[in-house]
Amino acid sequence: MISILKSGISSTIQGSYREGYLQYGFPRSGPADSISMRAANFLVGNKPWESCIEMMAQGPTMEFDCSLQIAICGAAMTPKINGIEVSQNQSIVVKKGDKLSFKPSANGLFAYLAIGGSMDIPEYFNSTSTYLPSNTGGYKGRQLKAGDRINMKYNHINPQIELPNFMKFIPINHLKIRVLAGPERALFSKNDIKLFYSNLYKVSSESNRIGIKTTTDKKLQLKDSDIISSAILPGTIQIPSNGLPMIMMNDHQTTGGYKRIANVISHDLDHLSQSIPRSLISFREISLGKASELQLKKENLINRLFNL
Amino acid sequence: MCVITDLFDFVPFGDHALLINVKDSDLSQANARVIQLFHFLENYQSLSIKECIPAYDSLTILYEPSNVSFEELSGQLTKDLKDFNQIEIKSKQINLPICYDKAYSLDLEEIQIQVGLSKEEIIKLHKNTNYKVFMTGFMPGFIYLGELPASLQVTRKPAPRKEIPPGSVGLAGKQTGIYSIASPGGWQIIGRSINILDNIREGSLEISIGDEIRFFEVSKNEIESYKLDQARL
Repeated sequence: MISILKSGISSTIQGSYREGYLQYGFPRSGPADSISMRAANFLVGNKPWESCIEMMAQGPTMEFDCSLQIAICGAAMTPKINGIEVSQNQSIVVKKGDKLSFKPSANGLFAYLAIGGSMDIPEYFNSTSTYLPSNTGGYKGRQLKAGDRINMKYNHINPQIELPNFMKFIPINHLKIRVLAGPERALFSKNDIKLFYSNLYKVSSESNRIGIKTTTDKKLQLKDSDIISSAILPGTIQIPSNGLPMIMMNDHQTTGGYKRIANVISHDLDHLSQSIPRSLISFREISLGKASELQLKKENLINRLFNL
Repeated sequence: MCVITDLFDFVPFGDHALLINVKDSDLSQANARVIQLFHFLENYQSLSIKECIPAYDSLTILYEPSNVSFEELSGQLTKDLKDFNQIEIKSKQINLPICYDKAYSLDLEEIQIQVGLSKEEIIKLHKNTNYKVFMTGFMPGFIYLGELPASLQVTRKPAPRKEIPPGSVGLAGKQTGIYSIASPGGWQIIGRSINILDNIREGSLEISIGDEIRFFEVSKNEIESYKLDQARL
């Protein structure tokens, strides 16, 4: 069992994507940075999409009531066991009574705590992932807080293994995000398109799992921003009437009424999710063929790691 | 790269979705085509299609890019949708309980002021109208039903209510809708039905766009513990 002693900033259970319920208004949810979550699961011998604790900005303090194998990957949160700093990106065996605590993230936004075995989290619409906007999924549909207890369905301690470099999160202050033209691209003026692709956007502090808001002095000058509500996907970049791009992430609403100027390629979403307020983002358009190739290559590499 | 036919535009959307925009200047005609398209896809044998997001005048297909490319899928669909107008729609008829008790009809007085009818007349009009599911989603389990009779059409609340309880039935313009999760909202609440999401999850309800909905009135005691299997025909 894991007992939460002190809540972090926003820690939720995330596991596999919630697939098949978009028509009812459920986005996929799941890990913001799926590579880091799978990395943590890899280190403790779990399946890639086993439920983890996703920790935003700062993780919670927790205590373990038996020996468990854990691993922390993603944003650098300075994990400490009983006050002594331990490394991320490697598995650690904790003992009964050990306390795990974190400092606010120095770099990146999301870190993942995986535990060898399986946490006892009920499935809601085929997934354990938390969707905070409707208070559903995960641990009672909410963020973890002091007093919460998570039981293990089963647990194991595996031999230590090394994490390949490509699975390690490396922070970048200026993200050059690759996108595909969005469905309404043709409805923007030439100047707006030129500005969108040349401007340097700053990530706003209002960003969360639903979406990343951006700020800039050079706003797009669109006259009319609304369309008849249509689908939104993770990575869809909408331009509301304030002229500031909004990038939708895993907890997005499933439909929306703003023009979709572009869509971030799947390959770049994990990294983009790790951007923090004041990170800089610029956009570059690539071809659909190239985007698919990049994503397939990445997924194949990860699947091979798990012998899938 | 868009593929254009008489009825639809197939538009690439991100790296694993295909957006189908229905071409019809009449919105309710376009919505009828989306419903037809949705029913066609439900029975469409394709390993490459993962799921769909129907909207008012468009439908987005999520596909598996390791199985199929945008070009291949839009090519296939163009061919298979040739006889689109002959596609039969097999929509379901669903009867849902509703309770108009004053504990649940939070905005009945405001509706009365707007439409100038008595409470009894409003309730009678609302429950005796047959509705169609125009859209689902936007937020989990929200069901958009239409159309309301002209004499029941009201504007939204000037400021949204902070929390609307699940199962609440609201009015806004030509539509009446059912909330599934507690959320803020500006619809004028007329009564309480069941929690659609809970029933979908428990397998006692399947609901999709195009289905026909009829309400039948139940008492305050009945609605609180309503089991849906009684309601299905």
